[in-house]
Amino acid sequence: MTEPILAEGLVRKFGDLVAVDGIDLCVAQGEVFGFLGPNGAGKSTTVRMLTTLLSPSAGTARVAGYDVVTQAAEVRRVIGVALQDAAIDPIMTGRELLKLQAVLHGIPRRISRERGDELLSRVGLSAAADRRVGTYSGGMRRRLDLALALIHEPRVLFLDEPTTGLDPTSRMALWEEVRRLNGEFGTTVLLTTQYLEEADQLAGRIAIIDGGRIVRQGEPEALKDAVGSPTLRVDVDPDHLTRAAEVLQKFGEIRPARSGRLAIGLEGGAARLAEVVRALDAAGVVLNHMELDAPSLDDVFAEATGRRLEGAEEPPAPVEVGG
Amino acid sequence: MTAAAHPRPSAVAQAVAIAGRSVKGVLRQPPQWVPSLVFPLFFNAVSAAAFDRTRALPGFPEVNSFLTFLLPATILQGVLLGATAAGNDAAVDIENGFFDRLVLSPMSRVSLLGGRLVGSMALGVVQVVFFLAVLSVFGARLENPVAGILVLVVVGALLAGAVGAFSVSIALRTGSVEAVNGFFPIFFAALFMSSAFFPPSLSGGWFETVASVNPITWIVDGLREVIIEGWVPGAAAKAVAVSLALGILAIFMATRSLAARIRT
Amino acid sequence: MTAAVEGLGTTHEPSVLASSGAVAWRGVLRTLRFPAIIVQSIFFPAFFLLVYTGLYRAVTELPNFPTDRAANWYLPFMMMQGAAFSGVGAGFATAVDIDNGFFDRLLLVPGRRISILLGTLGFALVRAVTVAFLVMILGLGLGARFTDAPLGLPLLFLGVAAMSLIASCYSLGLIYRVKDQRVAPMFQVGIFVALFVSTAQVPLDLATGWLHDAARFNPVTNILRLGRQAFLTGGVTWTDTWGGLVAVVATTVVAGLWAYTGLRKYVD
Repeated sequence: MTEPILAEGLVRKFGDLVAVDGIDLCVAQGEVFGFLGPNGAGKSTTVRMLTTLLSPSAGTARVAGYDVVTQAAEVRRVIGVALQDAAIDPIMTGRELLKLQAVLHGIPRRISRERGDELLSRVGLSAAADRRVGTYSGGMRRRLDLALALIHEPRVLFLDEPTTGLDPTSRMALWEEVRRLNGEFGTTVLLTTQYLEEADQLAGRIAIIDGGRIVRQGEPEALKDAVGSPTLRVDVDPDHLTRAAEVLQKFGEIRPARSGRLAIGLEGGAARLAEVVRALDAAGVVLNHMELDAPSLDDVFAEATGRRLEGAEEPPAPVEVGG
Repeated sequence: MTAAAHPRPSAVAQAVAIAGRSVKGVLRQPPQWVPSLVFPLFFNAVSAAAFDRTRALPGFPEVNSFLTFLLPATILQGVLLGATAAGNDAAVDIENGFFDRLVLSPMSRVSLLGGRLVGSMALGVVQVVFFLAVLSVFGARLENPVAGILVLVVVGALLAGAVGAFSVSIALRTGSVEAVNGFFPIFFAALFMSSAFFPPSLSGGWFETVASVNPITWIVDGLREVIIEGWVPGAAAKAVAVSLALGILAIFMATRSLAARIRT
Repeated sequence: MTAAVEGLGTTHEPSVLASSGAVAWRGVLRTLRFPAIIVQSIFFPAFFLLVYTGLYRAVTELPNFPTDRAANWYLPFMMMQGAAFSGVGAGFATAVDIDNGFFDRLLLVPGRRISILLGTLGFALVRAVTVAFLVMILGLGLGARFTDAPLGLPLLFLGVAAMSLIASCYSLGLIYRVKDQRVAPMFQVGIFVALFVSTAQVPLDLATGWLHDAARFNPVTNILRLGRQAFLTGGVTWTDTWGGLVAVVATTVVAGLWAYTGLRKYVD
């Protein structure tokens, strides 16, 4: 069987700007694939090409076996897309938009009504279905957008930054829904995100994209393992930064860190922590703070690009709600 | 240097700063002023070519061309389009919060309003000069150029101030760009229901009645007499006085709107 | 059915007619929700009809003027003006859709994208005919009288439909290419110039100078001539009809291609 998403050497230029610079991608049936990268890395541009909203400047891509350029109409029939800014007409009600979407997909009225009601209740919008979308909160819009993307039961679902700007509760709810879709119906999902945790939580496999290129690709665990040693982060008195760096170098390679901080990949792990502290003390470095973390996707990103992922602290830890 | 050392700035300096800002604001946004220069000229050109033969109708004033006849209409149209920008700017300022900063600055309320109006008036003068320059090339004629230019410039400036104040007043009342633009058709309607485009005596009927009580007709008739006949003090006085009265009324409205906005 | 669609659900290829209908239906729905849109598109033609019939009443006294009622002369023009600005409204609505991203959702419809264009045009047409009809009622109230309704009325509404399609296609072709709301004033400017550099205000024989030369070659002049026959002395004649029919077909085709190729280029 053909892979749901297959791209080879995909390139997109806007004038002189190369937004996507030769991307190869292969997503398997039933997979949740995460596209992780900072703003402007080329995630959305790639999604727009895969969903036939933008023509590639070079390269080829097939979605569900159809070529995105020569068989664009067929591609659109089997994909569902939730776009970055929840592309929704604020003047219409949620139910009207679902109905419009169903007609545009050629779904018979009898089926579409049933399925629309079911989708609305699944995304928790039954009560708000007859209100204008303009009155919806950000989370409600995203959930409606998801319902719109699902009305025709697509084989491949594209979610472009589905939780950007959402509060933790809404974010959790959306994650839950994506897991359910993938688990119950085997829908293949490609989602883009700038949140490490989202990629970690949802995706079976991820690609890290930066400057229009995929810099790492694989299962999150494997990628993290490849980084090897855990990251030791150290805050020292600003005057002691250079001296501390000299000391730390002996314990492992320097890793990118936020300014005013130092980070190394601590070879030998936690067992050598005491040794590090003694060495810093001996060099007269005043320690303010110290933490040791198992390798994260941020470390993978840092190792691949030499930078920390912007907003890596986000999303705020989801709050467990009762029920 | 200490903060206390700053003297309270004079109202004039503030007004000049505000006026400069509104002129700059307009100059930096060509879509705001290009239409107010181009549209009236286009409409003038089309109507002058279409209706030139109507000068043969009995009762039409003696004039060298329909272009000259339309001169007051062109100027009024331009001023109308241009000066509404003042209200537009004010509404944008209110919508994006800049207005609050102006109010919070140690600025006299007079300069807050006055600066904008001076800006509108300055643009009005530029428009009048521009229209006269272009249209004289195409055959518009002033019987007495000195008197004609003087009266047209003064009336243009006064009306620009009046329309500016009206539109600022609406902006202050509503705080909405849409509302300001929504009022534009009303000004426009008033211009069309006057003697600006055709002699109402020839139109007759209800139109003549409406036009005769429209203050814009009084202004247009005064201007037209100065353009066609030359220096007619009574006509000039009529155009200037009506424009001035409209200006005073508009400024009174704007002042009250400003007071209402600051109270809330 | 191809092997690639062994998927989960009921995905059908909707007919172009059904999708176009859905897009048009959305326009109707939006208008019902925002009656201000329809009020606005009637306000200007109605206002100008009122003004022109009052203001230029005496124009009909000029020698060889083809009617003795100003309303007869200006009503067809105002109907077409209303139709044209309904078309401009279609461009505005699409500009807003592009701005808030909804247009992307439309682009994601399965099957051929031409239904987006056809649906938008269909709605613009409905709106234009509605506006023109209401303006006509007003015009009859202001003294317009048919001279040849049976033949003239269909031709008049053909002209109305053509003006709506031409203005819609012009605006849509522009916004599909520029994809930026700031180009929207150009819709109005283009249509305004096309409308007024014609026999909008006076018959060709009375226009002087450059206007006379320019109006002669403006297809709007021919379309106006076609539509005005319902109200002018002499009624419908083949002489005044064929040029209008040619203009209707040719201009609509050109404008339609402009819009269609723009939509095709949208994803480039």
